[in-house]
Amino acid sequence: MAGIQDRRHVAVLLAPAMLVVGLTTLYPLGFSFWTSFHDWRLIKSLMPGAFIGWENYITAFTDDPVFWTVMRVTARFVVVDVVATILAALGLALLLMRAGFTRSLLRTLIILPFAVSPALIGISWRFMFNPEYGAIHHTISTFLPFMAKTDWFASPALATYALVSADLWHWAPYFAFMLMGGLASVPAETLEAARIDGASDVRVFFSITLPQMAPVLTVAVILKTVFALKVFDSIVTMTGGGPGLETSTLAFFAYNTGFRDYDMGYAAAIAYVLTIILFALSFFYMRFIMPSRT
Amino acid sequence: MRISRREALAGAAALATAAPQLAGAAVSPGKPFAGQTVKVMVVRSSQYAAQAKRLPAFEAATGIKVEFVDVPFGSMREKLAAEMVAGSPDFDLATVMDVWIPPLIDNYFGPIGADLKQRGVDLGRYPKAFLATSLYKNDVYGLPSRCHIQLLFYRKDIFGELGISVPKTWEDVVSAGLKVQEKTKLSGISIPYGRLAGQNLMVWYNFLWGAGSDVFDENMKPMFNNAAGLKATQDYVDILLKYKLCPTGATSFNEGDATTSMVQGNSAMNPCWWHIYNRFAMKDSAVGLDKLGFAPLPTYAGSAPTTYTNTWIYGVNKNSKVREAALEFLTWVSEPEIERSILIDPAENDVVATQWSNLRDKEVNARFRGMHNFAADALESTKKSIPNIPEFLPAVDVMEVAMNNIATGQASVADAMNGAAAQVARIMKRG
Repeated sequence: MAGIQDRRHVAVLLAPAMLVVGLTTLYPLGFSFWTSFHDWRLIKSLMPGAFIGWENYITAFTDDPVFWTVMRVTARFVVVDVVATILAALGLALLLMRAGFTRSLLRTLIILPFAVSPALIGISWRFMFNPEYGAIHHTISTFLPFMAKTDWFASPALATYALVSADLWHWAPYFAFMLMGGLASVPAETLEAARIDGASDVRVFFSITLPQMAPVLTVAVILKTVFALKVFDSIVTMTGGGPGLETSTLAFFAYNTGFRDYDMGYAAAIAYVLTIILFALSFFYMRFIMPSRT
Repeated sequence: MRISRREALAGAAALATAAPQLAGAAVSPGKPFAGQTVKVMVVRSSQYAAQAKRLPAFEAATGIKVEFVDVPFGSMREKLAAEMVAGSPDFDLATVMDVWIPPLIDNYFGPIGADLKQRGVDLGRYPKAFLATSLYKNDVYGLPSRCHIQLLFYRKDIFGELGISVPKTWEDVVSAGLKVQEKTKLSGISIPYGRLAGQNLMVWYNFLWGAGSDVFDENMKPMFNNAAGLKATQDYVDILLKYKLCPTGATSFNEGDATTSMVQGNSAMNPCWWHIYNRFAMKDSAVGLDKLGFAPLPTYAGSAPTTYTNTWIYGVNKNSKVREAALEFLTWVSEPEIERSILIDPAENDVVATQWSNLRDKEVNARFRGMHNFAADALESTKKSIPNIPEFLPAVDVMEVAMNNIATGQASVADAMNGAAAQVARIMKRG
């Protein structure tokens, strides 16, 4: 009897939160899934049109060359962004692990980029990479004079690196803190024993520290992959998806298709392709990573 | 030319003196809508800021409170889409750019032709090219509010020093640009080739029309990839890629960036809308109005001059709860006297004129060195414009990507334009 009353009590307390989650997450997910099976173009009607089955998905995978360009761009951006950010975060974590007043102060300060709006970061980076008055451009040109005439947003590679640099600046501190937790969990006795045996710092790092950090690194990589797939604000404000389509990721493409080209049905289908990828990553994390950690 | 304190005070005095006349312009007697509030979504610009300064006169005459909410250009399209889909009555009037209008017809904006007739609004006071974007389904869905023609702005001081004549053809532009770059550190010309709301197409349309091509043929099939269209596109990008006359970064410039390059003294020419005149009057401009020259947009030798006109209209939200009050405001703000008061106000430097009387006004032309007569001549002669169809919106997105691909060297003119034409044809076929 007490157990049943407890469950009812729990249900009542959870009900408001579940309602909010339902309205803000489940309903939009369901409606957009439904929309992806309909022909709904706002240039024709404010109301969703006819049911067209899988046609939007078939169009994406078989009839729209832009979709495959966007998939390629997304894959390239995610790989570069994840690798660069995790490496930078690892470097930051190693530098900040040691005790000391300066490092304590730095640990507080480096979280500030994480508090800045990604849209604002994109606008700022766009100004800083401007070849005529940009601070980053002029700094690089000072040390590498042959880059003085570089148009950063004209080249797919450079535009991608510029985007990645903005995203790295935003996320590296967050992941540095995560990795610092992983570094702290490496047994000090193991490290000491290795050093006594004559192992160099580099050997200790690659043979002991890194393998011990594998679980937290895996979590960091998966999380950063999810975040990279969702990058949107800085693309809108910094590159506009250009040059051409070379920084148009799936998220940006879905947005453009829906809110600029007004093709809501097709945009919903593209968004669901992204959702499925994210879901697959989350499933992998929950199924294979979480159990091994517990 | 900078605005002195004396001129600012003179402007305020002129506004105060004109207030009774402005207030009296075209309002219903007896304040029938007193106490109501009209909310207006406007694109952020000096023109609407100037209109906002005149709102107290309207409020005093009608008792209607008007709230302007300004939205940056880059966010305007999405804001309008959200308001339309939500069926929101939040805004009673909105300003909207020509290519964005078709999807809003009957979905957000309602017809107002009968209302305007009843109020005695004479549509003949607008140039046809400006009025065209207000007309759908044999009715009127708005009034021209912010209309632009294109001019070639140039550094008349540098041209004078180097003995360069004002360019009349695109070939002249290339020659002038090359000479500027040979003799100075400036870039020859600043043109936006980057992606934003089709801005990298706005000068290109003139190349297209001047070469005898167009976006669509009479059957609404894409024709910008025919021989003339490909030549026009090649000539347009050659300014950047072959002659290297544009600043570094032009491939990602939007319109504002391209103008900024000239305002900062880094480029000698900028083909753009007449409203950028205002930017050169600002205190932070490195190039003052005394160094600024302007001329009609060049064309191909032997071809008639063209200008792509960019028109914003004031439309009335069909869901507005204060529709009559909104129409009262629309009737008032579209009066020629209101527009003229801004044009001759020494505290303002906004050049936008939408009506013949102001385009040919002697005092307006004296103030802006004949710019408005240029505009009126162009409006009388221009025959080409962009199509007023909903499908043009996604077509613009396709074309701007293609243009940016060409400008960044990722595709040849033929490949990019043929690919774009195929995509546009698919869009038109879907309907």
